[in-house]
Amino acid sequence: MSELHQESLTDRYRDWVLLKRLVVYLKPYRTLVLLAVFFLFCVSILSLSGPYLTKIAIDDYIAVSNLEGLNQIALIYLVVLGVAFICQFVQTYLMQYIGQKVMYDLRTETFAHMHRMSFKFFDNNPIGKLITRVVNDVEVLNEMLTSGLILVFSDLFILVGIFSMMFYLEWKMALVVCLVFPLLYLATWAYRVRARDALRKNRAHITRLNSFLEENLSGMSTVQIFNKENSHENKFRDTNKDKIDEDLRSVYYNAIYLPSIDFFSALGIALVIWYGGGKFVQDQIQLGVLVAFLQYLQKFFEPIRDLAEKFNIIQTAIASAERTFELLDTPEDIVDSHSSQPMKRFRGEVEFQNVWFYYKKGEYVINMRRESGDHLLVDRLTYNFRKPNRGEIIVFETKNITGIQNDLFYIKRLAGLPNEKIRIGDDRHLVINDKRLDASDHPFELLYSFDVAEEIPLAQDSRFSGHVNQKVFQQVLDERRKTVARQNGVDPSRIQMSYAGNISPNFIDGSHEFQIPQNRYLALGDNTVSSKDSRDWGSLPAKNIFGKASFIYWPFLGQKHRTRPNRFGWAFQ
Amino acid sequence: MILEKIKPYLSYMRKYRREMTIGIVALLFADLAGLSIPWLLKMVVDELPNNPSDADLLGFSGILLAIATLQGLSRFGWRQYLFGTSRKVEFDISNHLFSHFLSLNKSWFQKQKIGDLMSRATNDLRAVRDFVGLGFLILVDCTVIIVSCVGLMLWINPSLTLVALIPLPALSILFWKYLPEIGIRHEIVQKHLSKITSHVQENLSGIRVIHAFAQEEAEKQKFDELNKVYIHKNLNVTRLFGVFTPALSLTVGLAAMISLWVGGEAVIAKEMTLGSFVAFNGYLLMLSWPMMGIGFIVNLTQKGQAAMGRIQEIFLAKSDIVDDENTVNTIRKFKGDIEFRDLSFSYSESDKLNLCDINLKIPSGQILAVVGVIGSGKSSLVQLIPRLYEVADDSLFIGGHSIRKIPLSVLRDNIGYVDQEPYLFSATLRENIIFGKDGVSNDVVDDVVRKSGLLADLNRFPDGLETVIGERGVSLSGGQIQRVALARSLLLRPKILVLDDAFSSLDAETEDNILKNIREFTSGITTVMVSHRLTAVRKADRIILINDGQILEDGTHDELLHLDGKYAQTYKNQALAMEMEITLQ
Repeated sequence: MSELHQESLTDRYRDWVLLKRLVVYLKPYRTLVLLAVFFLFCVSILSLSGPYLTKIAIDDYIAVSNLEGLNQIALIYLVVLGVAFICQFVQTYLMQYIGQKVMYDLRTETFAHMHRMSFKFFDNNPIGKLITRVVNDVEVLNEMLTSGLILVFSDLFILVGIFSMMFYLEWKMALVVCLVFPLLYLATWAYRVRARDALRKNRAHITRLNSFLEENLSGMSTVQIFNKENSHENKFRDTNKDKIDEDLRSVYYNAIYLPSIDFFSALGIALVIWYGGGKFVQDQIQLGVLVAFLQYLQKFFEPIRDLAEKFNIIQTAIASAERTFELLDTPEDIVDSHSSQPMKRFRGEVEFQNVWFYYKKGEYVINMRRESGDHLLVDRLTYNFRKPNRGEIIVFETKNITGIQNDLFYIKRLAGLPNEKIRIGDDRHLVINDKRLDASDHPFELLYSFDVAEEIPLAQDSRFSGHVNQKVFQQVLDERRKTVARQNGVDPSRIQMSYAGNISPNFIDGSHEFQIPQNRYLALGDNTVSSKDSRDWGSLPAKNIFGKASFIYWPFLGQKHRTRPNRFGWAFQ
Repeated sequence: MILEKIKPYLSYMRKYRREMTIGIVALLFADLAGLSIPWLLKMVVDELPNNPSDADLLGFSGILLAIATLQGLSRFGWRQYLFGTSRKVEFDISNHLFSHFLSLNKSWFQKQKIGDLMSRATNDLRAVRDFVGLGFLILVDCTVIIVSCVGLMLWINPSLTLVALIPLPALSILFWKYLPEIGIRHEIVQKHLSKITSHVQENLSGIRVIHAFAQEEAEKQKFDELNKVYIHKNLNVTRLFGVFTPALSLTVGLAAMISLWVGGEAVIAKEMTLGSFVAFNGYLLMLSWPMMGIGFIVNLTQKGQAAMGRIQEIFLAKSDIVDDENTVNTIRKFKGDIEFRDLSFSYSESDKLNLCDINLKIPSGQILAVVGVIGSGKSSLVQLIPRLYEVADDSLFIGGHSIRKIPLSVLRDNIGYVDQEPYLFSATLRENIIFGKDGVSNDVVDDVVRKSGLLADLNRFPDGLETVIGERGVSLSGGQIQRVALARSLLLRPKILVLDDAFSSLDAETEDNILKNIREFTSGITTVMVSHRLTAVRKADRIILINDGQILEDGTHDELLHLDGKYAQTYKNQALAMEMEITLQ
């Protein structure tokens, strides 16, 4: 089972690393981000000016009965409000815009990545879970980017701003208020650890629940036909119960932590009354300063409360980010055929054209279809030292080759090398870069040993029939249809060939030229009238080549029910 | 309108009325405490010019802390009881929803997209939860705070209150003009997200097909377009929301400015004390939260209401295939004979009859093969036997009972049905095989594994029967899936076995072997099998050929060959094709 299969609860990524990775997604929009942060800054500063203006109004004008000054302050206040309105609009829009763009990028990337995964990946990861990754997790990330992360900036601005203002107004009283902070820190720390744990477990349960739901919705009639409604209902309920338990735990932690912040806020106010009131009585501070302090303190705990609320969003987002990146980091190739221990001679059991291959990460468990296959030894050594040559028999994986089942091994003769131009002539000879191959080219001696003069044969062993393009194949097919019709005494037109007609779309006729791309090879079967090879699905990537076929070691005797001859001991040439 | 949508959900809340009452009382206490703090500050500020002693100041601080403690405790109470309850309500609804899904029939599911259903069961449910918890809380909280704050402000200085509140009607305009529009646009966004979910779901389910046909790029393109539209729709919401939120702060700010200006004048004119002025400003500040809260609640209601509507749609869907008053509960078992009596059938939406006047008696223990071209009605016919679709009363009899009289669970316990594309669950092979029956011995499992021709395959799996197979059993070949599904049905030891083209992915030889095994296993079991491969059906006791929803030919293999009709013709063609395949190899 891949790592992804079980929802992991351990820290796979450090928060900091995750944040850094998220920031990378912001990079293309850095100008906009800077602009948004600038506007955020403006909004924060402007929102801090209210209490200060109040302080000036009280101390400088109301206390001394200066009506004119009061009017002036009111006017300034009005302007501040107007500017704040505009800034806030621009900032909201910018942030949403950036968030949407990033989400778009992430989603596109995840989706594309998913399409590059091998089918094995989908066997090990339920669809419900993957949907959650592409849709919901990315959505949560957006929430974090827009309302979460960037608002943290604004809240931090406000906190720093309030701190500065308080120290500016009356630094001693500000220090007294600071007594509250160690308590606040302790509470936050205790909360963080617990809330995070609950939230992560909760997410894991949600994923489990959604997978179960998805499976049941897809396989509903099976559930119903087997009368499994009750047991599945119970199973759902149990999973749901696990989820709600963690849910309630989160609610409980919030219920303790958030009111505690309010309590600390009240503690701060009490300190101001006690200390500031005393100072006022001693005429050491003005009343306006006291009022401004009280207002700032109220404002001070707002962002903290906000931060705590956003902490949830951020925790959820971190979990989402983790899973999204985990998915993006899952390598596209589960097994690299050339990776582990290249020097070891590998004894692969390969069936003719079909190999069953089950793998877990890093280990091979090879099985085969006993009932129909030849088993052969594959030389995995040679190609580590040199590139494959034309005419050699290779074994390759079908992974990433479109048009054929992707988890098999094929065995074919290497016919075309990278960058070559290749044709299959109507005389059933290959023409490579305008040079015609014939029986004098090693190792094609046997392959081209057929008798051209003979009417197209029903070769029992079709090893010796050259290479066949679509046009020639059609001729062979027609010939066979006639033969069968004659034997059965029916009209040839009544005979339906169950056999697929389009064997060689890449080589329609003798004039059709195929350009092999860089780093790719062309492989053709020797059993050319019925082989599904490069004529059908095109070239294959160099990295798919598994090794050089050497000889068949099984079965010793011919197989029953098979039309093929006994091939024990055949060496591949 | 809103109430109508909420009504079905009230019963979920009623269950927790005790918790909710506690929560609301706690909320009221919290509000009371919150309201008393500015008043306390007023007393402090007014007392300050009178040179209060240190003890007085300490006393004020002490009272403040006491109030804050009460506030903290009450806040804990409402969070725990209101939010906790909303989670529990969500829990109940989702359980109920799942049970309801289990009761809906095949024809309903065929009309739905799984991605859409998932979106309703997750995203919409969350919206309902937020509405129930948060929405309810804010509603109470806002009402209490607005009423008390305005009341206290009026108490302090009526004329100042009236002036300061002038900007507030602007809020109502914002709410009534803007929020509904935001709601509508938001719903569009949600619907679009559900489309994206569906697209991903379809892509992932069909990933093999997509790759086989090299459609990745086309699919990515489609996904890309969906996402671009999604951005656009989201920004539509943002444009309105971007005005809405700052407009709220602006309104509140204006009120504060007026209060500072007019109130300042009043203090200068000695019409009110500085303490009252401070308290007044405090209350005004407190009002800003409920003002936004109203926006929030309208938003939550919009979303919640839309979500409730969508979930309710599922709840309103009812399966017609259920036990009802016609069900005879005393039927606990039945014999394996089947009779179709003048049966006509069509899938609800199409006018065309898929089956027309079928009259067919299948005696207990008979092996009946149903053949015909694609779309002839073979599958429709056999899918009626396990009552996957509903038929008219008294047109289909199982063991002598009209199928609608037999309790559904009894019917399905005694009928094994193997689909052409069976669904396997992400579980071990063993769990999939014993799916329909609990407490089966290993011997029985081994026996059905052997009879389904799975034995050879088992050796190939890393953990044999304990091998976990991927979702939909995709790490198995089509033929293996079909054989696992067969084993799963055989394990039930049914009275009637329906094989709906169940071996389409097997080669002729394997199919032949399996049929031989089954024949031995199913003696006495009525078997109805659909197949395209006529060589496989020739050993059946009886063969019917369906054409255009009607039985065209009926008899044994030899009889039908002798008849020299459609069956004979197709059989000869297929035999010829087989022969050629062998020559071609």
